[in-house]
Amino acid sequence: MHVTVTPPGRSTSASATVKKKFRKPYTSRSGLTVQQYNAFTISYLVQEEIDDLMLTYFLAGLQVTPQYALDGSSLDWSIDRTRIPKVQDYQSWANFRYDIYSGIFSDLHYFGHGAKDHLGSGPRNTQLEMWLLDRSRYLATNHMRYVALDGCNTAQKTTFLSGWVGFEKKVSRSTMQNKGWIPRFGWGWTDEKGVAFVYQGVLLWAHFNFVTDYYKRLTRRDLSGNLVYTYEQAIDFGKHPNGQGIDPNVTNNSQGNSIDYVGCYNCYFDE
Amino acid sequence: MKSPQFFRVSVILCCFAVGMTLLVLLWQQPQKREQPPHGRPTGVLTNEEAAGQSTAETRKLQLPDDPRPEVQLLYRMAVAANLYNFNPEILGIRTNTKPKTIDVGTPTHGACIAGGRLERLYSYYDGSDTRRKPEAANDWYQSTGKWSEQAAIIETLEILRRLNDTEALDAISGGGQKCEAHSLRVTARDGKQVEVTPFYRVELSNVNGRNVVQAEFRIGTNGPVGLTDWYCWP
Repeated sequence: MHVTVTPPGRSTSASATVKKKFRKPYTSRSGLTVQQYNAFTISYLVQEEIDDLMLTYFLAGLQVTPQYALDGSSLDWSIDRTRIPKVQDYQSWANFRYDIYSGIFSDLHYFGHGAKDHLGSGPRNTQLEMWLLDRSRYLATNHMRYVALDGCNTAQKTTFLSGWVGFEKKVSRSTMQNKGWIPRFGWGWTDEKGVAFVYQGVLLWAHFNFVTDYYKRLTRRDLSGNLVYTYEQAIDFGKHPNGQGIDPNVTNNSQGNSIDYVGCYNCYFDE
Repeated sequence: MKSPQFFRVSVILCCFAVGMTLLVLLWQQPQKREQPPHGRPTGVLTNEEAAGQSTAETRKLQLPDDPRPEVQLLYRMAVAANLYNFNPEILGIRTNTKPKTIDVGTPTHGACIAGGRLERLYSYYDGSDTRRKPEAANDWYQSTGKWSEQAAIIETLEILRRLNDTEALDAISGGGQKCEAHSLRVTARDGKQVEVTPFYRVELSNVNGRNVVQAEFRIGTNGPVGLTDWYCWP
């Protein structure tokens, strides 16, 4: 945007070119629900359980945005757990990096290994690093609308979340409205997250219960058809289901204590 | 000896007096129902006091007799909190299983009930959430009234007290109190730019910083006119 200012009573004027961030809205949203496949494999049974959970998160995302595979093909509610997008080999990671770099997706739920500045593990070509987000010219002006980074330490530095959604801090909806910003929200974990008991060969269900309760709350619709709970209220419910969550015996779920989030905390998933 | 005509007039007068008495009694019945059980909300204008508002705001609150517990929870809140533009007609009730939660819908408001408590209540069209009717923001220019953040916090606490929600009051005891009220520059119908503060949003948290109670109040031309959003999950 080019701005020219002429002070009162003067003939000279000053002008400058200002780069306005965050003003370009997405015409439509497109979502990706992806897991780092085989990252926590203890047995095929456990991987199948993770696939089932990923299907639950996929269906939650589908409530607000069309979902796609890494190759761009459309995925609808009728798919089974085997078709949830996966990153595992070099090629799938390359596709994932390209899709994010090019701004193909506005919404992302990722489950897998993570760190304070990258997703994935192992060699660099099976990772998505922070510099990629910083170098994306598309993301510089069109940050993503919703990003869930369900991996270790992904919110240890909020700069990593900021690379995805453009905010390093929590911002209220009234501030967003006031400044004309598009609602965006991102969350991750501030510490190492255990997701399975290796020797017992079972998942640490409390972790997945938190995420499931969060999405269940976030995507609850009222009689008018709109979603009812804000991001923060959904996170609050995941931490304190008070017996109303997926596990009726849980009142408080301490797994949620190390979550951190940035962006419009009191916005809704479908706005 | 009285004439028959005298008796006829006496009977007509008596019938008229009895009829008037019955009319007065019937008229007073719904008036009694309007009174909040613990007095009127403080700091919030009654609908009549919010002069200059739309006709919907000056409408009197008349709650139908509906013994269903979920409806009673909603009406109890309506009385305690002066819901803005509230139409109490129940359009639908949906019971969800696993876990059991209940959604209640009126023409103007939605409510969610879980674990026997009203945890969420919101105006469809008059709050800051304009997803259902984006053009509702065109009326925000009317919100020229003044209020204060402190008064909004006090009013939120008063609502909890009127509801006698000791669980929530205990949860927020010693916790933080925050109120956010942003001024907006909007265009009035006549094209003039006016600065307004349409909403006051209160957040009451527990000692761990968790927001237990959230409330949003709407401002009218003379001050606050009622609650538009409520969340309470102790």
